[in-house]
Amino acid sequence: MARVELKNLGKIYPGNVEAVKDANLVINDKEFVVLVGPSGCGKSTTLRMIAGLEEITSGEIYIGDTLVNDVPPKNRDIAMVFQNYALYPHMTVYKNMAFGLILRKYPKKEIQRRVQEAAEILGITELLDRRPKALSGGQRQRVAVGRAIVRQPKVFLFDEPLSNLDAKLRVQMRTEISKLHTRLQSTMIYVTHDQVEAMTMGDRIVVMLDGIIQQVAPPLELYHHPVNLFVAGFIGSPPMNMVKGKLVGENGSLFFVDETGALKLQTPNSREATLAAYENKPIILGIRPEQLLENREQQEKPGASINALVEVVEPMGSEINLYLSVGGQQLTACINTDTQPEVEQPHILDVDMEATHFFDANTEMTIY
Amino acid sequence: MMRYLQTGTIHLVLMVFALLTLVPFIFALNNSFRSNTEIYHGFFGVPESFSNAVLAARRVVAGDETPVEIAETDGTTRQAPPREALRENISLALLNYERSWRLIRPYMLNSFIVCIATALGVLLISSVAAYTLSRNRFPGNRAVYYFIISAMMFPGVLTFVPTYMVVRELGLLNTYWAMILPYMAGGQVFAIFIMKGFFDGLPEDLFESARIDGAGHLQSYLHIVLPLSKPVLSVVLIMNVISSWNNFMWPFVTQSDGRFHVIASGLFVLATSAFASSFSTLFAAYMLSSIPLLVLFIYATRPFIRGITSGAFKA
Repeated sequence: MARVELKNLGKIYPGNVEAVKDANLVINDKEFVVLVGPSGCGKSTTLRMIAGLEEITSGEIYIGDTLVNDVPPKNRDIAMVFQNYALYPHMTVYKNMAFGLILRKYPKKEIQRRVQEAAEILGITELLDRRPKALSGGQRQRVAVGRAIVRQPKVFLFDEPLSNLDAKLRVQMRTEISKLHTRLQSTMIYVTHDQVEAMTMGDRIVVMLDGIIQQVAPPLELYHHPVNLFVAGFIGSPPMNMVKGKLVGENGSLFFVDETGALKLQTPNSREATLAAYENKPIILGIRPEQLLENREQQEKPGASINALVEVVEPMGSEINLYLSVGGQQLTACINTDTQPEVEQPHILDVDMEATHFFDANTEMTIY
Repeated sequence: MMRYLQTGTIHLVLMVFALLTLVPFIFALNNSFRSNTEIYHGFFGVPESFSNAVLAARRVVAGDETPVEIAETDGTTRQAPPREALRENISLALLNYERSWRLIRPYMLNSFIVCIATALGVLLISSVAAYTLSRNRFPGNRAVYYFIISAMMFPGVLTFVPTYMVVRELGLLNTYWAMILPYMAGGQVFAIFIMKGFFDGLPEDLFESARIDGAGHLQSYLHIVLPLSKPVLSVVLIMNVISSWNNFMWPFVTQSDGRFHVIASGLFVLATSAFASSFSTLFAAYMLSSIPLLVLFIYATRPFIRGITSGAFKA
């Protein structure tokens, strides 16, 4: 069983820098969990504490049923893939992959079998005699992954393994690591700052900010039900539009009015009960770019559409990203390619109010 | 155009200066092939054995049987047919080397023993010390390092007499240890300094990766540090061998009974005693004594030039 559990985990670096605060997390056996967050959020530190490379200031880490706080890395039965590959430059690919097994005094035949097998999985069989410097970036990363595979560890740790690769290769390796997870059926913990990587790879995603775990959820739940403003803004590309304003009651309905007054949107009836408590209080409306819908007739619907000035048009192929301005408020919309909005022209878009989010402007927590 | 002229001139001047440094060497090399008689006649000039050998060789090729001169070592000359003269002159040219080799062979052996023991000792001790200082955080780490480094501030002459007294009290005078131990002690300081600098520059990821792979300190040191440090190890090796090979004063003082003279002190003994007037033998001995360092230099600088860590990391 390779369940990993963090209990009240904390890390304080010299100089009283609190990198991780009271982290609680259970990673189930065979689960692929992604730690994601902006740089300095403590995700790498958490991973390094699990690896045993960083001392734990407070709290406990369990791998399987063993408390590993004081267990050296080599006895934790983990393997780690580093961002910089960290291949041994003086060893061949074969030796790089075999090194861990050699140190553990595995029989030569067994080492050979495992390295061969891993090399086949990763398609690097013909590179086994080369040295790292004779490999391309993608090949090096494969070797680094191979080095982890041969050990057949309980837990795989990945520390931003793809951030040194170019965009195309990154996408390719992404799917390969996902396939690897399906194939190996082992627990994987993956650190990245790229929310797309997190969304596409993880069974569950752990979003961190300033050393605090913000939310732990499967990708789509995270996307549809972010717990706070940060998670909502961090997950999704292009990011969610955040509009500051307040709720105003009018004719028995609740309307969201932004600070400039240029935006006035009626809240859905189903939400009115929840939102009633926030009437006349500062509130933030979160609209994902794809919740701004194309209005074919270009006719304004009071309380359900916006009339915006198109500032930039970005055709992406399958869709168009529009950068809009409404009364000084910047919005991003993501619409299909049927229409061709023109720059510097007004454009009317409907708002899918049922799907939008509201956040308390003071606590930044999600209202719904 | 102007630029080319300028750089060309600068290069020319530099080349002349560079060549000037070779003058003493060429001078010694030239004289090492000349007989004492020739040297007494003048310090410059092509070795007679060379010019005679060339002349003889020409006549052999041309089939000309006119006799050629052979300048014997006792100062007399005789005529011989070209074939014989060629053979004789070649062996005359090498005569100095044969003689001096017999004389300096024991000194060379002593030098080899002292240099190898010193270099191995320095490499081992300083690399372990540098690894410890570089890769381990322990209380007083920096203090220990600065303490070691501060030893570099004392010039050798200052420690000469105290070291001599220590060696004498230990009863090591006139033994190999009188040289090996102080050389090791002295050579370490700078070696630790440059090795620590080098080890600090080795990427931390490598060591972390090794730790996860199951390597302890000893294994990290053996499998990661040493193979990756060939450039700096060869620098330390060269520096130590050169300095212990060339050290004259210390072996001269500590090896007063002459049993374990090394090459530097041995040459001095030769030059001030029986062979004081035999310049030809001495010059040949000087030449022979510099060959090991030349060979070492050619071999040990190789890993130095290769960029050994290139490619293991994302630049």
